[in-house]
Amino acid sequence: MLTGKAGAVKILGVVLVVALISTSFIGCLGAEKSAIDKINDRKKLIIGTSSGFPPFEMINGTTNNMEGFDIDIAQAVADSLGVSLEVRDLDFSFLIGSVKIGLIDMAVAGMTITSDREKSVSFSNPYFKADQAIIVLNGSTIQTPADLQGKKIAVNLGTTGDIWVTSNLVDTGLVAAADVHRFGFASAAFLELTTHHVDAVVIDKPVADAYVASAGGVAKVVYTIVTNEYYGIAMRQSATDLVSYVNVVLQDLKDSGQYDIIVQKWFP
Amino acid sequence: MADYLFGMDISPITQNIHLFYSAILLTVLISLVAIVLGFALGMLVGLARSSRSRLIRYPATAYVDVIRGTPLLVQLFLWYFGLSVIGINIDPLPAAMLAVGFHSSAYQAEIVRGGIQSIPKGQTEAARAVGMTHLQSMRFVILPQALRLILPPLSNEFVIVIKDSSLAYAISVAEITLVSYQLNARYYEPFTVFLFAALLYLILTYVTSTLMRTLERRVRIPGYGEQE
Amino acid sequence: MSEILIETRDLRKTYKTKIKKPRRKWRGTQAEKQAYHQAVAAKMQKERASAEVAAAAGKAKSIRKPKYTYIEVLKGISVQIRKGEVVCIIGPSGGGKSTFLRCLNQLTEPTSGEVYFEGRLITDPFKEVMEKARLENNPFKAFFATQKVKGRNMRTRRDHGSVDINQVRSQMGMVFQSFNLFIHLPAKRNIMLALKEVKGMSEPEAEKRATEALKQVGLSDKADAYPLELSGGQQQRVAIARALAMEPKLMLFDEPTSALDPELIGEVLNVIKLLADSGMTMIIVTHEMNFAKGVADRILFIDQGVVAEDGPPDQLFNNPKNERTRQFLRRLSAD
Repeated sequence: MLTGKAGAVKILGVVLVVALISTSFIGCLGAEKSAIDKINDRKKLIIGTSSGFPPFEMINGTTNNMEGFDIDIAQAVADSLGVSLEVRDLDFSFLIGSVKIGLIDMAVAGMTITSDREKSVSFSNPYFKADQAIIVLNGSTIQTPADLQGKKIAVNLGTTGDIWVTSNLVDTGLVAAADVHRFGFASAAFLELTTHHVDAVVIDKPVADAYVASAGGVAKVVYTIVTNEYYGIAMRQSATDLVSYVNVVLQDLKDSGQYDIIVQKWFP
Repeated sequence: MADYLFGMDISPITQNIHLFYSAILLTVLISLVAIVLGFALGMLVGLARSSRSRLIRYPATAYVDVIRGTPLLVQLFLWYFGLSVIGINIDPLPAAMLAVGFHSSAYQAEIVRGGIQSIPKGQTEAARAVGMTHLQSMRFVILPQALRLILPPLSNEFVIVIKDSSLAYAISVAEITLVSYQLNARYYEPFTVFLFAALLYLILTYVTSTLMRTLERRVRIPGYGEQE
Repeated sequence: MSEILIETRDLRKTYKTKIKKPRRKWRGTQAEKQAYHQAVAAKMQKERASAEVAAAAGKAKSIRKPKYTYIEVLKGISVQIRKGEVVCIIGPSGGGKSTFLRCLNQLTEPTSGEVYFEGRLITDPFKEVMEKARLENNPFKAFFATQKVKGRNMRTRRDHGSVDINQVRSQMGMVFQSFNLFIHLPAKRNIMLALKEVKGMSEPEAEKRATEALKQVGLSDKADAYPLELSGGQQQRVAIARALAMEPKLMLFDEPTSALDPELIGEVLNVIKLLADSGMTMIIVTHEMNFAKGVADRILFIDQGVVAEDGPPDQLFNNPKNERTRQFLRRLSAD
């Protein structure tokens, strides 16, 4: 019955099934402790972000560390908890997935609060307001979204900029789907522009402004797409204690004036 | 309205299956072009690597070492972004085809060289003894045998090319991997979408290896490999 | 007396090899392998001796493993073979028999000396200079020296008419110890390949000739069989047919039966005998003494790179003139 090659396959099959079933239980074991307790045990707050998104998160040229508006906010939370901060640089589109699985405690990445995303994660209260913007190279004639017809555009994959371009330009037929170049990191999208692979980049306005300022005059922001977005910190839906805690921290920052100081630091 | 399979919510896939049609086409396209380019170049470089003349052999060796010594992803970026910096603007799709193709050519060159060098010297000697020139002996005796001999490792390399084509996502080519990526960005179900992507790749590679195995059987030298 | 078909003058072959660990699979003749080991041993001895001398004199001399060693496999062979002669070459392993045979059709290029086929020189007139240039210890000097020789060579050939070694080879048939049939082609095609590509025959012509050749060796029914489907004896016969079909003026056999099972040797020897009786000029390197006695007009005993004895079979076997021949024959009859 269980002899020979056929027998070996059967045994292997049973072992695999048992392994698969047991791995699905692993998630259940960790459910007892609250998120904040786990962070305290670990003595570390792990956040995920996606670099190349100035001035919210970018890599400092000299120290090679991650820095930015979001990092300072996250640091405030870590300080309040009395733990150290670990920053993981990920592809933007992996952030929510990572939060869901529990690979990171929170995602702080200039992430807009959307109803879609709220199906998967919980957001803190909004901590920043933004719109989208169109960036082009200096010699370009593009002035408005209508001018983008038939052009090539680069976006940061998974961001609201990506979503805006898809629903407003691709789905309406103004721009071909193949002409939208999507990248996991915003820096790649900017590179597309400077290497003349695309005609425009659509990305959050504060980031667009910061990028143009640092780009040495080769690019310009030509249009602000008013979307009234709000950034939030993404956390696991089951981590209700962490969500409340973070909201308290954010409120404290605002009340104490610390928030304004951080804003001044990154948006002089 | 979600669809379920083994308790997994696969509606991200089923509701967007149409996106995968062109994605599969692109993956196949990149792989095919890369395989053909890799083989054509690989033959040339492989022959050069087996040459007696150091003038021909050394540059070929350098080519193989450099390409095999750098990661494909890096080469991909060099082709796409690097060329633009020096003024040659190239689209993502051709860049992907060239990068994967040249990368594969180095490995195929070594495979071809191995095949040629494993043909026993007696075969060349018999060919020359009967009056054939070096070119004739290569064309009628060595290469026919070598090409049959290298079908198994070549088939392995073709499978690798199909898998390597997935790296084209990094330069925004909308092939299988990028489309899965995008779905994950919309639905936040990485396991489901990437499992599906893996399945697609598995089908492609399986078909390829089966085709190659049929080819091997068709051109097999009767009596080969049956020695006691 | 018939005219001289092929002759060699002071044929020499020296190998320069790097001294390194001997490879498991030796890609050369026995002569080369033995000579290599001997030369290495000799060199090492010399080094040790000189080191001892230095030590005795109170000086330290490091024993360095010598990098290169020279192996003289052929030490000057001059031989004339006439049309219609059947010559068997015998001798101990490593004596240079196979190396000599391979020099005749230039499969192995001699270091010095000449080979004349039908009166025309087929060795490279600058080969000696070229070999000397190649054996230079300094790789740079070697490269430039060989380039210079190549240049002179090309000019000479252009001015005085060149000998196309491939054409010459097509007039000599060679049969190898390991058959060397083209395994990807059936028997008939093995034979037709050279007919079409070297002799330029058309497909039907070549097919006709191939079929005839197969009939001559008694394998007409195996025309479409692939080499690896045939027995050793059958493969060797097809190899003979392949050489025969080119209508060569001279046939060279390099230990044609050494790789065969005893019961298959007979069929091959029969074919060779038939060929000899039909008047073909043949040079056969063999270990089959009885066969040699029966088929040869003349026996060459080659040992340590020279022709130690040269004479008709009854004289050489029954009344050898050379002591070394006597020793060799004695060792044979011992087992």
